[in-house]
Amino acid sequence: MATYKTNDFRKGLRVEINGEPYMMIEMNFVKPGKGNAFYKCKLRNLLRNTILDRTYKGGDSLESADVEEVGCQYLYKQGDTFFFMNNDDYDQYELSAEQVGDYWKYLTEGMKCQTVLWNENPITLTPPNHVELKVEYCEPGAKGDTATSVTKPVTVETGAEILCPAFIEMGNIIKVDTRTGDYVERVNQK
Amino acid sequence: MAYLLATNGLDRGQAHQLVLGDNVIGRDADCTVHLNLPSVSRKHVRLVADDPHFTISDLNSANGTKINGHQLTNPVSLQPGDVIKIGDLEFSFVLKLPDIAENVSGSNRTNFQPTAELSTLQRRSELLAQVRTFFCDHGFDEVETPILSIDTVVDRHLFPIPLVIHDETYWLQTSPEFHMKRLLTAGMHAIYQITRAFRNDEKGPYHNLEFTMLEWYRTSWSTDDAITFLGSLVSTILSTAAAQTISYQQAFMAAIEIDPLEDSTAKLLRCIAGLDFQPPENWRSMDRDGWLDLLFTEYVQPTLGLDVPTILVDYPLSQAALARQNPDNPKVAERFELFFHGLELANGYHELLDVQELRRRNERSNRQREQDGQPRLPQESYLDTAMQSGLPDCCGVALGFDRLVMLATGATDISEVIAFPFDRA
Repeated sequence: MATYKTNDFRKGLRVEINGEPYMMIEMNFVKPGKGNAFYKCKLRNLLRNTILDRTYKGGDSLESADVEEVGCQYLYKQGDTFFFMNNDDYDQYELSAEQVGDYWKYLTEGMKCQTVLWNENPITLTPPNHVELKVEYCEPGAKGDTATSVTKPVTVETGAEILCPAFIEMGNIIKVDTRTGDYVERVNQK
Repeated sequence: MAYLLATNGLDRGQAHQLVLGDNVIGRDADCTVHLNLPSVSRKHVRLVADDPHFTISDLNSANGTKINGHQLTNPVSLQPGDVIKIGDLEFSFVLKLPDIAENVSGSNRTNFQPTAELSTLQRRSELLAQVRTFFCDHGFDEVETPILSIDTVVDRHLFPIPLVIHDETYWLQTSPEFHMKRLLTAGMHAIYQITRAFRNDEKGPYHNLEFTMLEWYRTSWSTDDAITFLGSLVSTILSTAAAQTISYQQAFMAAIEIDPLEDSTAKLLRCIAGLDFQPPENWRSMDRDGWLDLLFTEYVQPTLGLDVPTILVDYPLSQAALARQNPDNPKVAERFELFFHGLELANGYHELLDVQELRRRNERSNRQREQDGQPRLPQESYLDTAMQSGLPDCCGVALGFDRLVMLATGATDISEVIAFPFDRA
């Protein structure tokens, strides 16, 4: 494994601390003109998304982490395991329900996603910011109710419930923002 | 996945990640890449990402889009490294984030533009003129001395850059100190210069490897004279109230109730361990000055000069550098530093004249460098020769001119006041 010395420190560096992968998101060099150099860093844990504040002194080092971001396609789910395929080399990846988190709500077969590999194993998943999902079931809306302020839960093809305006009907396709889980718009069907 | 990497403007170095499928780039808040600038249209450009194919089309934007300098009229396919200009903003299209996001423009030379606004460079020019007038009015002669020298300052924490010329090792100066003291020894009385200094491995919001140093010396000055002059220079140039003075000891006591001169090492260690921050893992292996530096940068420095320029005086003797010991208080050196808004701006000494003491300090610094795994630096120097022949009693101060410009313009990063920082030099 490569080692990064303090003078290699910079934003975007992927490093391993206490056996977990981190990305350096801030690096501030502090040095009295006639004194010791310190590197004040903020690091994001790539497994848990938590932030770590660390100060290093000149000459310290960090181990590099073998972290890479790749594009992949969602294949299917079996039990609690989600299967994905690398778009380039057709490698298959398995992610647990825990790693996928709430994003299961948006996964449809063939969907292009991104995953972060750590030591060649996937650790996190990022779906596209917007996905289009078909409404499988919903209560009919009151006739003529076109206001978007009145919402109702609808069940989409993945089995997830999304809050939608009352005018959404079964069979409609809706656009959802995966970052917030919010309904964005109804997609015109051809 | 692909990114648009900003290569100009204040966002320089920022990566905008593209999503699969449709990306709309524009001023509207709901755009995939939101660029809130007047030269960008609400919906300016569309980028369709169908990895590995990326297609870009202009959405009838007011100011247009350029790809590698060509106006975008019909949709084109993007290749990694393409330069995209959206309104006034420039981006590099990349598939992978470079390890050094800030460095991208320097490493591939796509952007020749200065990082500083032209108006800031004009302000910098005015400040240079003001400084020269101030020194001229106070009877100083401007001098010019070599940047490249066979001698270098022996300092534990400075990394001078060596250059081999005709099989001889020369150094890019870390400050013009040696040459200027040779001029004093030769008979000059009041001298200043504005020159370049180089310190390897220094890079950050307040550090650039090559920087501009304003340095001055005056013979027959007391430490108080030198402190008064420094305060008056800075408050005049930055139009502030008069500078105030506080001792190194007082500043520590006020910030963290530690007496840096009197408290035992055990108390210092307990203090660090009990404070609410994460010190470097192996901090216990540093020495007393290392611990003081750690506490100073974390807790003391940020409190200095918040209202008016503040001059810290009476540094511990172990941090004397080339200042003389205070004859009235042997625990401290006649060294002082000016801080404003928490930023270290200048460092001054009542200069050490004793050549034997210079040699002892050089030897100690070199031994510490060896412990740190750093090469020894040459201890023989023309300064040694000059001091043997008799350096006159004098005070000297070095001031980081780039930081002075930062304070004058409110800049938060040194690249805002330098035309071409090291990563674009």
